[in-house]
Amino acid sequence: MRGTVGLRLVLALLLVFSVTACSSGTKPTTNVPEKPVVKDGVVDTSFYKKDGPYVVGVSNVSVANAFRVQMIAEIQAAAKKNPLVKDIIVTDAGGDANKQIADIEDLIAQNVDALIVAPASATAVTPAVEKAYDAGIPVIIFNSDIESEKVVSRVLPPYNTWANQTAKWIAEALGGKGSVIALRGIAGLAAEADEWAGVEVVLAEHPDIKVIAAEHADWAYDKAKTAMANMVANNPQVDGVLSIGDDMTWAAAEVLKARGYDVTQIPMIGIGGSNGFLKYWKANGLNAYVIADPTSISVIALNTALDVLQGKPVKANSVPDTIVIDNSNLDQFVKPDLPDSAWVGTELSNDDLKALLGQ
Amino acid sequence: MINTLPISRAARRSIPAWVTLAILMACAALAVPGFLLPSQLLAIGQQFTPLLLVAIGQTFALLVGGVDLSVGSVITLSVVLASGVMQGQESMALPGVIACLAAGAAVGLANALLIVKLRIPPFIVTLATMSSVRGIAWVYTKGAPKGSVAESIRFLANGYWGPIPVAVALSAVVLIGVWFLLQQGAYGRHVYATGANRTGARLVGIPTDRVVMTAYVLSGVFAALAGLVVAGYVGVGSLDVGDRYVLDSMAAVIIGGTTFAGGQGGVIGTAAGVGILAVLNALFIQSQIPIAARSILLSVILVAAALLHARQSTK
Repeated sequence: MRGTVGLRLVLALLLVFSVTACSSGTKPTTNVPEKPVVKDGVVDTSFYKKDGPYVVGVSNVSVANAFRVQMIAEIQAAAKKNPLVKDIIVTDAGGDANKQIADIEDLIAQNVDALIVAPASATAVTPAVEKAYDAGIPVIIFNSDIESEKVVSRVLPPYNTWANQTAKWIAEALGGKGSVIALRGIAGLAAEADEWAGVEVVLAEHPDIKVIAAEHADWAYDKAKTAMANMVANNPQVDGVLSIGDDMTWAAAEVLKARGYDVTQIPMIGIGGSNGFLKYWKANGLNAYVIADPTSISVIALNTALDVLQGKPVKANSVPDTIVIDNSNLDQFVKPDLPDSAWVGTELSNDDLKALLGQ
Repeated sequence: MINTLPISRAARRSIPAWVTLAILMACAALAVPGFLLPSQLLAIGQQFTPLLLVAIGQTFALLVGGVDLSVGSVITLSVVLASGVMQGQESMALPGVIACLAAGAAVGLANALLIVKLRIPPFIVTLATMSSVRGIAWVYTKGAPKGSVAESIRFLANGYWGPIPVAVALSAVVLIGVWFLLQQGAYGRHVYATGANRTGARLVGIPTDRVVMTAYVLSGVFAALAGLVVAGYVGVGSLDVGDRYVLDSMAAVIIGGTTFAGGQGGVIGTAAGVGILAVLNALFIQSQIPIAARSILLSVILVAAALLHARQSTK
């Protein structure tokens, strides 16, 4: 029994220590408003102004694919080159929201000057992010959104607009009529539904374009390949490929070619900028139109954070530039010496990409 | 008397799965004209070759009364190793294949040692290796799968010999080989006896530890083989490419009549189980059944299969 009492005493002491440790770490900053002051889409950041160079914390949810790896490599390379950055601390939550919450709390405890977050989900990390905000650390969200008002700036790809723009191109390329096969992202994701809505607006305007089959292939090459093979088997008349991810477009083109279709005559769209697809496009003379989803979006987030720390006004919502790749400029973007897994919407040099991704 | 032999019992246990597969194909033929065209069926077979291979390995784990949750991670590791070692070079194709199979065997051996020597339950052991093998794949790639597979490996997964997909032909040979191994020799009898009653088997002189160990090594090797086919099919891997094979392989094996309790079932049933999942998937896509209905239908089939086998066991 005595042992248990001792144990309890130790636990109680630990608890007291941890409480005091927390309260000293999150000293309230008086001059930060309840939530960001936004006027005409511009955020007042004057009270964040401090002298550099700065320590920037980046909480990333996962590096489970080449896109995300490249995205994090971009921000590290940009930080290294920028004299305003003293240090950049990048954490990786391995896809786990709980781990990301702990990561953010660690970064707060390390007194980072600004916090950049690529979140796990729309709600899971909100409390941790708000804790950082309340501690006087400006928070920048990028890549995907969270539900919170306590975010200084958001950098998000305008997928709805991009999907709309690519769909308009294919509608025109088809002359307003034809049978198309659609390849979509992960079913049940709000972001996917929003992206697809951009396509549906165009479909509503062109009633003679029929989606003869549609499948959720999760933006993934392998799933799109299986889905496409099955859809083509039952719907041999394919006039166009309406995909919202160009890894899926790539799989669709391969399936069509293997089945003897003339792929140069079938307009195809996608969003992404997958080097594998671009290589295939060039080698097979496809008629395609892609908007690149830049991995350098993380650099925009870094630059926004640095502006905030210098007290410069920043946009509450910013979007990456729209990079259109079509048959006229394909050669500028395709990287024949780099592996298929590279993404071409990048600020990294070819040498950096080679070191990152191999041959 | 002959009915009590495990060999014929294995064959009998696969009957419900084959009947289900036949009914399903008949339904598909009615719903989708042209579904039963040989070229169409061969294309479906090609897509499901990796699942068949990993499910064959999983059958061994279940037959000895265990389970292998690490197969998905082994597939992922095999995919990233294949492209990383080969770097698109034909000369590195064989070293790449050897590296993948060796890695699969090593994971299987690690599973086997923990299960047999330390007596840790297979579920926990393979759950742990699932996680650590995924970690190894991450460390190896730092998140970004590198390189690409050799053209010959792509041919293995995508190519055709005349009208027959290479992958289908090779997996048919593998299936027959494994069936032969399980039904026509001492090793097969030992596997069934060990799974049915390990203590009893040990008492009649069967080296049960060695049998269990080979089962897990085979499971790892088959998962690695499946990974090679996936690598050839996909070309570029991602670090979650193997994940869906864990539950799918278990579902295929169970639908095929192999039980979690061990000692009953076999790879012929597993082939039918894979066939059911493949035909269902193709039917879902070709008839454009809504996503929600798909999950429900799939669960109905799983429960129905379990019921059929349960009724059979009580007879």
